[in-house]
Amino acid sequence: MKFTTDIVIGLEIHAELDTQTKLFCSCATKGNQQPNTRCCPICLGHPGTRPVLNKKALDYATKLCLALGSKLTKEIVFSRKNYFYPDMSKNYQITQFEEPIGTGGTITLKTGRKIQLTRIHIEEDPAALAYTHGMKNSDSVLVDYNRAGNPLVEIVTEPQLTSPAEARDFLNRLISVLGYLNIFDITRGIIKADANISLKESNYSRVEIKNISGFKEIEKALTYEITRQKTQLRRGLKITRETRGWNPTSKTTLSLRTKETEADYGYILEPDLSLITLTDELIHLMKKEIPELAQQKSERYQREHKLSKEDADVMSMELELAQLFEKVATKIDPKLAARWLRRELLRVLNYNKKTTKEIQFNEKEIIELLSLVQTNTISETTAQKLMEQLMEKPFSPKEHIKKHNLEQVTNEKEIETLCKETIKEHPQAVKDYHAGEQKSLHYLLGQIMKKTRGKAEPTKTTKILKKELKKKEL
Amino acid sequence: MKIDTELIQKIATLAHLELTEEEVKTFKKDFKEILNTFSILDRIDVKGTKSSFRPLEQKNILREDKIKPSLTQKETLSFTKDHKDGFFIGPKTIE
Repeated sequence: MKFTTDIVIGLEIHAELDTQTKLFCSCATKGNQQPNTRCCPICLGHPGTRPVLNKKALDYATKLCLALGSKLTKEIVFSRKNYFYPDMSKNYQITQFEEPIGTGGTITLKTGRKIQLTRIHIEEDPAALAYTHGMKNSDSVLVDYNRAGNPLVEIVTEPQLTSPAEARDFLNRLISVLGYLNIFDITRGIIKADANISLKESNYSRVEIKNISGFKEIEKALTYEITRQKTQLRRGLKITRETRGWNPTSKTTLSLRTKETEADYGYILEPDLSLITLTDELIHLMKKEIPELAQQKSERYQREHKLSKEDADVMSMELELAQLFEKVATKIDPKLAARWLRRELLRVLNYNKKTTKEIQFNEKEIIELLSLVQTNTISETTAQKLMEQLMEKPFSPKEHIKKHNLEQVTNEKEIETLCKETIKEHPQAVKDYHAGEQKSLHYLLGQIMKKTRGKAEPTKTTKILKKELKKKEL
Repeated sequence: MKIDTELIQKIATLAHLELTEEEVKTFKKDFKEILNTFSILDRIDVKGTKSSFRPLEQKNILREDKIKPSLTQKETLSFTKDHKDGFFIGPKTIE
């Protein structure tokens, strides 16, 4: 492959499918957090046990391939990837090697650039390892097989991403698809990735980073590795082709001495699983279950509601937010709705470290609140405060403003009186304003807002205040 | 296939085994014997025969996504003497 960009990144993303049971046995994928309580002879790899594929996991992976435009294989086969490590008691992982469930496919980035996928395959998660004295200093490892056998899909991209920010956008879009398909639980499931990075300056010498866990860590690991390689090159050192591990504590990558190559895994077809045909019937059924996805929604919002591309992208990225927006937009001007949901709702969610899945109130409250904004009944400041309060406990905004007398003051006579009073009370600020101090105008406005608890309509108030100040100047 | 010390050592490394020189010698002899014994299979004419990966050609055996009881932690750990605080104890992974 011929590269031209300064940075070349390829990703292998592992996402856990949100099934009730493991990939090859009936143990629960979630629940009891005590170690080794969700295990059976199959996921513990006892001799003589026989794995049987979870139908739901197959359905989910099929759906994902269809949604991403991956070409589905006709027959599902699994292979044994042999390796000796305590996270796999069988000494092999059941995965797909020769024939993945999906080949090819694309994800379109924010910029419109399409990133090609190499393949999508299904595999089982290994066990979780814990170290009592850190990875290097522990004499042994503690192994918990609760996670062993959980169903994963691995999505492999072509090396076409050109920056950590692009990688983040790619992941955002992938997670959006997983969320829309309802096959991944973002509140519980963890995205894990292996990444390969090469720089033009080193003639694209490829470095792999293994085991990056978590969405934000991926971007951090990529950024760190690029800086590390650039620093090496600046010092006149060579970038060697190697595998490195991401240490989330020190936020650095370190060289892993893995000597294994694909050939060393000695892949053989898994003889314990039956051959499975992906029938046209199943494919048809799965196709029908795929909803309108974020990208299509965004295009529709721009077309139907005349939203800007940015607003439309944000509104459509997450299923929950898109559903809320669509309901709100039936009653409220869609542009106003998008602006408020994007700026205020997401701000409040961010502040409370909550996801759209965790919103307590429903569209009724938001519609009520925004109709008060739309009709100029309450000021934006009041609406912002109400949005914050709604996050704590749902209530009727209409009743709330009546009860607390929060309607916006729009009456010009009333505002004029307020301005006159304030001017009288703050002679120094008035003096400063007349001396050219613009800050003093904001100060005076602030005083009026304080008096009215944010209820004075800001545009009118500013206009009247300026007029009153001018009178004083004469 | 050429069975030499290098190959035996590589397999041992992948299997995380340390072999003495004496053991390498024994394995070299054993590997050769095993491969020799099985080489009889190479004499069978398989032209026109479809490859088979499973003892029984069963198709489309799938399982519904329904939880069944797992073993208890005590039962799970009863298969080993190496356990601590509910965990299995495994070998060190980094030298």
